[in-house]
Amino acid sequence: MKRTRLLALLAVLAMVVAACGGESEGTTTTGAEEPGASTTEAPPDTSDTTAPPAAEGGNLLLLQWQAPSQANPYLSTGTKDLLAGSLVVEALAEYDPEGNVVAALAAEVPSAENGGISEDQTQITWTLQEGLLWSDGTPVTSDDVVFSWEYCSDEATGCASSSFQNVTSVEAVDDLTVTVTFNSPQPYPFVPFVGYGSPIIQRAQFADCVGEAANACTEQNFAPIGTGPFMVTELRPEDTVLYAANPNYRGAANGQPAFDTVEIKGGGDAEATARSVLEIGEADYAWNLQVAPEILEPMEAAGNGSVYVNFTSSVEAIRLNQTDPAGDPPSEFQGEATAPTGGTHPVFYQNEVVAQALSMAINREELTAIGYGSTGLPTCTFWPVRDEGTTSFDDWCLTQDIEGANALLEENGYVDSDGDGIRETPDGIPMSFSYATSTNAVRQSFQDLIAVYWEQIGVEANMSNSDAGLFFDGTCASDDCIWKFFRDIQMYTNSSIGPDAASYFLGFLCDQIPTSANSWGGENLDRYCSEEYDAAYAAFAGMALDDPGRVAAIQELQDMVLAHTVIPLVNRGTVSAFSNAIQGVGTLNGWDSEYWNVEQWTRSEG
Amino acid sequence: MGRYIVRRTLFAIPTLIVISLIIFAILDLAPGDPTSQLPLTIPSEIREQIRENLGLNDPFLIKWLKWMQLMFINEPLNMIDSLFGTCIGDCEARGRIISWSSRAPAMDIIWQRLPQTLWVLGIAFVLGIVIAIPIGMYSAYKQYSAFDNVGTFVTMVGYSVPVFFTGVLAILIFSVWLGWFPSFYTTTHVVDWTSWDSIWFQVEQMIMPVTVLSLFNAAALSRFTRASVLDNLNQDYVRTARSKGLQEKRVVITHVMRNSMIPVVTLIALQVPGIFAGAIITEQIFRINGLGQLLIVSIGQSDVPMVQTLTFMFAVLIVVFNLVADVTYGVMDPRIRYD
Amino acid sequence: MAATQERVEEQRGLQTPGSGQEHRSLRQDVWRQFKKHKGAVVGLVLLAFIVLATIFGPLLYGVDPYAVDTSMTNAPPSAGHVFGTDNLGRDVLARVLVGGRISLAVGFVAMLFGLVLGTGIGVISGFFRKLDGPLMRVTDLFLALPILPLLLVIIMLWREPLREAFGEELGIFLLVVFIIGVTSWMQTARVVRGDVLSLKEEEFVLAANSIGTRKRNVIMRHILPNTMSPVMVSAALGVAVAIITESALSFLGLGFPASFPTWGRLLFDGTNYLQLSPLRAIVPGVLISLTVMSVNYIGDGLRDALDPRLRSK
Repeated sequence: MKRTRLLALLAVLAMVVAACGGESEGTTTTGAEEPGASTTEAPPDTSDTTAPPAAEGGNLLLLQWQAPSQANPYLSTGTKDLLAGSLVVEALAEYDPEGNVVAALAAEVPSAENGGISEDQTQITWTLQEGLLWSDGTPVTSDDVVFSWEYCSDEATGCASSSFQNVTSVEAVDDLTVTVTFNSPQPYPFVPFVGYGSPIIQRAQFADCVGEAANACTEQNFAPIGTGPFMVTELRPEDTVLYAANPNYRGAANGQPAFDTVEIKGGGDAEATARSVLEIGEADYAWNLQVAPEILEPMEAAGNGSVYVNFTSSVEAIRLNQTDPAGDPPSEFQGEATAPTGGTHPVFYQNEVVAQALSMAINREELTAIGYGSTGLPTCTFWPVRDEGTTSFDDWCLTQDIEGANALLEENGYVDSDGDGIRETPDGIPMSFSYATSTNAVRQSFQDLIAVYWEQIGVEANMSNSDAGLFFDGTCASDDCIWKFFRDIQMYTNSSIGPDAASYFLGFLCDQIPTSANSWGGENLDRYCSEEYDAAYAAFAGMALDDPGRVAAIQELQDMVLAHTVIPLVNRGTVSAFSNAIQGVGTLNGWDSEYWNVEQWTRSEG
Repeated sequence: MGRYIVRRTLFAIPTLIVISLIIFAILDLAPGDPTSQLPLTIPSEIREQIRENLGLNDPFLIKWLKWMQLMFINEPLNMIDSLFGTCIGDCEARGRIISWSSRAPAMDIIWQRLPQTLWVLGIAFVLGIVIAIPIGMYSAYKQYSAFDNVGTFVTMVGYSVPVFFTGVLAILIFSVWLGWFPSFYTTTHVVDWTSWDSIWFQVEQMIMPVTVLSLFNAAALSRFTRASVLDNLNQDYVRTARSKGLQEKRVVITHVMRNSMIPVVTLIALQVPGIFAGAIITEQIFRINGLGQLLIVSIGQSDVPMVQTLTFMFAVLIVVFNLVADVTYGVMDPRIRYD
Repeated sequence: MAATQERVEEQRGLQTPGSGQEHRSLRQDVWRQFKKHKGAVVGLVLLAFIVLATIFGPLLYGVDPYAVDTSMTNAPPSAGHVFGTDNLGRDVLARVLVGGRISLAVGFVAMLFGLVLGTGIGVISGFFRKLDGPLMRVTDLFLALPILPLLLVIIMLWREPLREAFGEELGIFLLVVFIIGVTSWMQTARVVRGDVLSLKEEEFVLAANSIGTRKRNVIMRHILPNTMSPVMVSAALGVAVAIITESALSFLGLGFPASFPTWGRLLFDGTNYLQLSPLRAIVPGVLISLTVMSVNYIGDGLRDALDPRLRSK
């Protein structure tokens, strides 16, 4: 009896001790030594630099349901890490919500007029602002810019950024000037060192972390030294990141940033974070709210926060395979680069009639309302950016026209000869297609609806879905990956990396087609290939950035692809929620970090 | 007794090795891959390079042996070093198991999270036991009475309603409608035992998950306790004790309870895997970023080393608890010891 | 001597072949004791009702559980839709009824699988001394495995290949059933083994052996029928565990895919709509709870009924 009691008591004690003891280990912040807890050390003492206190102080609580894993943007495994890093490290320039390039660490944006961009478009010269300091008080020099390139271009580092793809060299002209040289003329040179994927990191901190050593540099990766408004005080992977205001921030004299501390908290899902900000009012911001509109809208009605949407180039679209997935080998482009022979899709290859009919039958309004509510816009193009998005498809594609689609098909010989409800092509091929997308409630509901629309025009769609991890797997370990495209139709969202059309439209060139020979690398997933397009693209790429004919050229390229390969559905906006107490956010930025202007955010009283 | 403990401990080691092989094998066949999380524009040569760097292309046996060495030798050495401030061998350059998504040592991250899981789990566990045993005993003692019937019904409900259902309802009622408790758990809160506010903050954020979990535990446990006590109440020795003239209280508490506890202790230990499973679900619902949440996130990111290490840690905890249960069982039941 | 034998058998509830069953049979005995347990009876009735509802309900109700109707999304209960509709306009009651078929099927089949496995291993382990050691070590190993983590990992890995091999429905059904079965047999095996070990020493077994009965027949005709009581109790509890595990897996997003309205999946899909259309999540949640509760009560009743000490009171 006594022994039992004693045992029970011991057990309870052990539990409590473990919990308490463990608690204190896990929550220390700077520099203390404890068993393997991977906390970070604060940057060296900066008490000798005085800066005026922040205007308001307090903590900013940001909810990212995908928690950051670490804070070094060059090693990021997703936007979550880029965001975590963007509070600390900055690039020479950034993109504003409209996709224009705006100077950040640079004194001004280089252009042909101010001599920043060379005439042959192979060089761009950046000049840093004067007096820039790292958060540890040392000055920022062009050598750090050069180092950032060296760090990322060392293959062994495993750098996640492709922004230096076309860069051959980065040289420091003097302490504040840097010249970037490209391997070929770049009409749009604002890729390296622009945006939150390509920041400037400090040579002194990362010197020993280049190449394979990158993995061992946990302290540096968790708390990079930067020029941004905040510094990392503690990072717990997949959990939380804590920041404190950077006293050496260049805006400190103006009281920026207004907050003393920031916390990025991860965990849960999109709905839970939306609820926290909008319904309960527990937090200030929630990221990437992929939430059904009928759930999101009532939450907003609670009055604690507002939903912000920014539309960029993310378009959910149906892609029609131009090659034959039933061929041998499947979906492999065969023949010359200019004129595909054999292996082309028996129905979709350069077939404008079918593409148009399929597009006409779709009720984009309904799809958008069900899937995205106010966070989506029906669209007729896949590049709805600025004023470059108009195409000749705009006048008819937004209204569902079943009759028109049926008529179009009938006129062109697509009739249902055997009475089974499915039309056949003039060559007798039944219009029955395999249609795949990723496993996702909204996508499956789209499939359900589209199946019904197409049934009304005599087209059968055999719907399937694959786990997102396999569908979007770049290694194509499974046959379900989108690069292999082993089916007739697939549907997903594609978007451009940057706000310029040139790099995005590059993805429709004939030499960009993924095949088994090049390990399915290449961005032309739909296997679109046309001599005319390649020529038009070459002409477009040669235009200067301020050429008035540029917009028309982009529209022409879009029209070519839209004719028979891509059926755009919804322009998906970037959705986040802000507490109504947070001021100074402006428009939500979909091209760069959503925290791009965090130094201007303040909390209103009451 | 000592020999019994040693024997049991020694058996645990090959068990763990076999378990590690099973875990490793299952994960090695994973079709997912960490570079699938990277932006789609990264060319395939770079992806291949990254994969090479992460050691993905080595043959299976090599990978397993490397991992075994890291897990069974390097990590314990590292733990000893940090606990005691020593430096055994080549302590700077010692290899660690590195997580693919955060590039940090997996054990460090796990160690950091252990308190989260233990706080909630441990308290729910203990609370469950504290509630369940008296209720189970009294139900058995007064079998078929009103207390028993009501008690049985309540525990049945508690046992049958899935934790995720009650958890979600709890959040809806207490966080959204009433606004009493926070809907997520702040892991960085340091409890300052001198400050009432600080303690209350911790209590507030723990009340819902702990209550939900402990009610579930209590329900299961009280039924087992009741069954075990019932078994014993009908035994001859109870009749003997009563006929000897012992006080009823003595009979029940000293004799019956002690004997009933033996199978209950074993059952408590066997519950542990289930409790960790419950933890995974509870952590998802209440957004407690503990070991369970880490597991789910890592699986989603195809972070194989982290998943391997974490699953293995779960196995270690289970084996340890089984060991403790066996030893406790041996301590409580003298018949077992001398076999 | 014979009288003693009979009393012993009666006390232990043993069923020896050809025993005199004049005054009352074992089955009647068990049923009488079972009926005394009110909760168990209620549970039996409730379970029967639920099973019948899921089998015949969809036919009687007549609404297509898969019909998408975008004009009636998230509708409250009405004449046409007894429990309202979900966010795609699909009828909640119809989906719950059809989902019940799958959930119950998973529950029973997984339980059967685990039962057969566990009983088989338990009997072999108890009967054949040489295999006892290794089989018990294997059982210990499985008991030490962290079940849910491995379940999650296995499902993530094997979902696609199985789906390709067996088709969407059968593939995931097999996977879930297999996984639940393979991770829940250990308890049954241990209990059965214990029973078999003690049964082996019984006189009637010794008698059977001495007349040269083949081992296989000894197992089938003597041992197995007498281990039925713990096996049946395990079966009842196994169904409960299987249903809860399937719902838990669906809740974590790793169970049946979106097109399958199992109760767990419906609960998972419905949790985000709790404020908008609460019935959508509450109905499957309540059904899971009721089914599991009935099964648990039945298990309790069975345990009481099969316990010879209680019966001979």
